[in-house]
Amino acid sequence: MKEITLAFAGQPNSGKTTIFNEITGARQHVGNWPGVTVEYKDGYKTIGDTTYKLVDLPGLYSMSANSYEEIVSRDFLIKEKVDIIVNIIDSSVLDRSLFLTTQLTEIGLPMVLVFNMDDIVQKNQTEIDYKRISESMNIPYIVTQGAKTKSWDKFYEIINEVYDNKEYYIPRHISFSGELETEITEMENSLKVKNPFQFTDKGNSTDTRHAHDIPGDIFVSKENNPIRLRWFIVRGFEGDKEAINMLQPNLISPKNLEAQIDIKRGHVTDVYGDSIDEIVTDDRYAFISGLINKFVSYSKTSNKVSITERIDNILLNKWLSIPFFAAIMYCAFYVAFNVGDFIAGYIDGWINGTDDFIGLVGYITESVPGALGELLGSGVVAGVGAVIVFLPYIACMFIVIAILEDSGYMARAAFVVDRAMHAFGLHGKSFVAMLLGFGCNIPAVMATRTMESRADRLITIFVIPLMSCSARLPIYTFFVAIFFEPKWRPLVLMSIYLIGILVAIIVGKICKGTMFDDKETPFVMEMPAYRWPTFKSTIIHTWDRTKQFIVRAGTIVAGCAILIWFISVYPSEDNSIVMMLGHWIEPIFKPIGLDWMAGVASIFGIGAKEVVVSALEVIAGAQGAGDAEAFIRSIYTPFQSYIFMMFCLMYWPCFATVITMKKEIGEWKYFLFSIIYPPLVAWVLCFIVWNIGKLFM
Amino acid sequence: MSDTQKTAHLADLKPGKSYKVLKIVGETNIKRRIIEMGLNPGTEVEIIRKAPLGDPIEVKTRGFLVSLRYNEAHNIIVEKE
Ligand SMILES: Nc1nc2c(ncn2[C@@H]2O[C@H](COP(=O)(O)OP(=O)(O)OP(=O)(O)O)[C@@H](O)[C@H]2O)c(=O)[nH]1
Ligand SMILES: [Mg+2]
Repeated sequence: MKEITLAFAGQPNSGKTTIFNEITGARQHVGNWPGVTVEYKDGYKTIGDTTYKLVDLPGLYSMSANSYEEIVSRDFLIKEKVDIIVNIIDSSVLDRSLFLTTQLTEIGLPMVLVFNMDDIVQKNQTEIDYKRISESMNIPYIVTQGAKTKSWDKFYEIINEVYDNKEYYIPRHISFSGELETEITEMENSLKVKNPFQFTDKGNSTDTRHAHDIPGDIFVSKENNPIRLRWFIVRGFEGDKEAINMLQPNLISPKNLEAQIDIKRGHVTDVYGDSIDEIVTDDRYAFISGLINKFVSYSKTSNKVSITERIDNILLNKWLSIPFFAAIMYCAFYVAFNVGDFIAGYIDGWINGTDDFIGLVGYITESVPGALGELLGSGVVAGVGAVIVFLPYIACMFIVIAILEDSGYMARAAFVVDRAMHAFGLHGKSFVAMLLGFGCNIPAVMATRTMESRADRLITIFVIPLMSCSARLPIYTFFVAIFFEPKWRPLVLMSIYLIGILVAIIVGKICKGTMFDDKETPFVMEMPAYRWPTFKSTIIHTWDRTKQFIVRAGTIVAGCAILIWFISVYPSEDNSIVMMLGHWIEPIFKPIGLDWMAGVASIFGIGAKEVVVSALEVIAGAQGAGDAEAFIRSIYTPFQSYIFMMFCLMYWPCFATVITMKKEIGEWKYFLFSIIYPPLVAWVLCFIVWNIGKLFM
Repeated sequence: MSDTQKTAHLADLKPGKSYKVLKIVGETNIKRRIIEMGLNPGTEVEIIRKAPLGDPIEVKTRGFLVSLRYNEAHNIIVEKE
């Protein structure tokens, strides 16, 4: 039994996760914008006695790694055990993709090139001689079309061949121009490495697999991978201090490599009058241009304006882009709410022919004897059922987000709003994270990893909990259905979402002004080509997210429902534990127009937001002799219900989000701020609105 | 800048024409980021459009589209003719 570790590396949006999913059968998140994957993920595939361990890495444009998710990838390639680097290439932007490839070849690990997106290359009638390009770097290759690739046999064949004959497949790196190359080679020869390692050249004249320049190359045997000495030196010349620090412990001499490299860097800069960065990058692109000129021919018609550009001419038109943006967002939410509403109504009616769960609850309570029947009926079924009926809304929300993600509009939306976001201390990329937040706050917080500036990233994390996640949707829909006429419902819902966005903007502005200095941050973002969202990917994505909702309903919501039911009927229904608890916390909620019941429900909602609804259903059920909705209608006014929705929108991120926030923020100072300000803001705002509103109601 | 007649900041130019990148100036990290995206000296670049509020700017180079903020585009010096 052997295990081969394959690291999937490549530039963002090149199709790494798509191919990873195809091979392993996994369902990692795929989307048509750069920066979808932000954490590395393993997957396994076993064929015969070989297990392939695939590692899907976040995309990176270059080994310089400018943002956190790029650092994750870079570190993985250098520090973890990797047998073969599988470099996924977007062949439709071949030259830029090969830039990373020229950097990967320097590491010295065996590589395989995957020329993906060949369907687009064919459509553009570009002719690429993949074979000669790969040969020039001594790397075997395959050509693929993402999920439409017919067979992966060739892939395994190549991987096995490379794994069994590593010494033949050490990639050939490029040489830099004159002086720089001389300095690099000199330094390579002068360094004394502790455990140097060299491949013996098994190549012979009849073998086409010839390990070209391997014999001279020295490898630093790190615990996991032998890394080519040259890699450290080139990185060092490019100003990468970390690479030098990694090499230093493996050296007998010199004792202070960093100082030596600094001197050499100075020397080269003097000779060329350019910074080393520029020389190195120019040389890489010069090498790539050489390949393109020789092995790629573009069709005469390929200069014509692409479909993507034509769509952009409309969607990003100077005057229309903002109206289009607003319309697309409006439609997205309109569809999510209304289609959700339609399906929910249908299912509701179909389950038991009545509008709510009273029938079922009553039936179970009566047919199962004793306290158990009550527990099952008024506790579990009422509590979980109250949440499950909202499944269609949640699924629709995720479908809408999946379609936005797959179409390629995400990056455009970021482009349109960047300037406005910038004014509020946020960033175009904040918008992408915030939009994901309407589905679930956790991936939204993770998505901020792609932001280069720490200040931008922190502020975005601070405001993400103000984006109403799908778990909060049941709360709103529950109240809206009880208190508002059908024609007002979408408007009321939208207004809650808008309040969240508005507060986020204000919080962002204040944070930017007070906590961080206003430094310019870059917004270098690739705008991917538009694609039709595929049915399969939309459904998979939606299902995976919706499933989590069902799992939560069966676990945490059910658990809380049992607990809440218990404390709301013991010792007795009109003197229960929950009422005692409620009266104890009532002083906090009274000034904002809410009663003890709402208070208790929102406190239970800290674990998961759906629990708010199920808690209300159970407590109000106990209070109102079984008919929770009627009871709620009788004790609250529509205005109070609106205040409660506002409160639930803002008061606290759910527990799982808080954990993610701590992980991503790191520093306690900022983390504490991020969880302390929401309840304060929520309370103060609700207080103001309630007291002003009271005058008119 | 050397000869103001022949060179210009990319950010100041109008959409619709291709220009050749001469030099990237400015802070090292941002400069590197721009160059590594493929906008190294010698590359042809075309402004496609400005965002509705004037910033960022969408440019096309090497057959793909990328958006840059005004400040980054300002640091890209191009040949006018
Ligand atoms: N036309 C076409 N589209 C593809 C191909 N491979 C992937 N895609 C699409 O390209 C987009 C990006 O795919 P991902 O697999 O998420 O890319 P990634 O490399 O994992 O991206 P990051 O995680 O952001 O680095 C998705 O919309 C895919 O459906 C292909 O061969 N042809
Ligand atoms: Mg990915």
